[in-house]
Amino acid sequence: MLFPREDRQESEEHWASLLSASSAEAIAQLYDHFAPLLFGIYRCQTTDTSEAEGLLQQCFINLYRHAQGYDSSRERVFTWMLRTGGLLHTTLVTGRVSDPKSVQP
Amino acid sequence: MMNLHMYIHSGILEAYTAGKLDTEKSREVEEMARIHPSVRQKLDELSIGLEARARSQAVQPPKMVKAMVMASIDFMERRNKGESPAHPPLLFEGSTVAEYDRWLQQKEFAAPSRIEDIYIRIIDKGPILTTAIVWMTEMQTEVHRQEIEQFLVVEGSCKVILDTGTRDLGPGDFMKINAGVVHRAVSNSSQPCKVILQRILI
Repeated sequence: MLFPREDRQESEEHWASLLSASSAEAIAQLYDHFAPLLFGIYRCQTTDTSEAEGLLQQCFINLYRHAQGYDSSRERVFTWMLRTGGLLHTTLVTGRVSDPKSVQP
Repeated sequence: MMNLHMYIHSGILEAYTAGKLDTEKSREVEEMARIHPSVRQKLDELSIGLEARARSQAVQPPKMVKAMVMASIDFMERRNKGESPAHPPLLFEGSTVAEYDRWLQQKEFAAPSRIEDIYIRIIDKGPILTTAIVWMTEMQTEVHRQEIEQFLVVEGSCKVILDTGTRDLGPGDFMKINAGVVHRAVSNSSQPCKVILQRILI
């Protein structure tokens, strides 16, 4: 298990403040940092790259829409993104989708 | 109620992080995390582990996706500020640039000072039809499974590459790309190629 180092803590605060700002510029910075992580997950979940691209696009639009609901005292930014983006976390845990039907749209 | 140590090591936090709990059970975990710092700490450790794993499997998405995200946010913000819905005409073979002058002339749709491969401003977005002004120097390979894409060149020129061949387009040229057709495009003018682009859900 990885434990947070100083810089990780700082960046977690940075991402949380960007998410709370929820401006277009803030979302752009969050996208640059987190989109490759989420796209990697979507690629695992889908057989079709264009579907993964559509999901990633919708995910960040949802993040922008719901950013006001983020509470940094409750959870980390990445946890919130996974939940809000409708991602199936089990892909990360097991490395594959065990039940494709359980993927939320 | 079991003690806190047992709770943390019961596996419920792993299940929560893996998205396996129903809403009621999730709320319960969130409430526990709010009350007990040690629960929150364990959840954070699990999240950091997941994030590290996601980073090891990260894939860079095509630049078009970010451009569409930013354009959609800009469009939502404009609408929230009271911009009234526009009804741009549907493109077809024979459409002219002049039919879109109403939008092309607006300062809101002026060219950006610099673009990173692709920049998009949405004129209108409905459930079926999206119309946008796009500036691009390069558009990576893409394919739309459920959308027809069509565009009209306004300024500059570009080369569109399909599996079946390439087409050179200049101002006033129209092109339609059916769903399922793999395509990419590059500008071959000194300025970015500016087009009116429509995507139609089928």
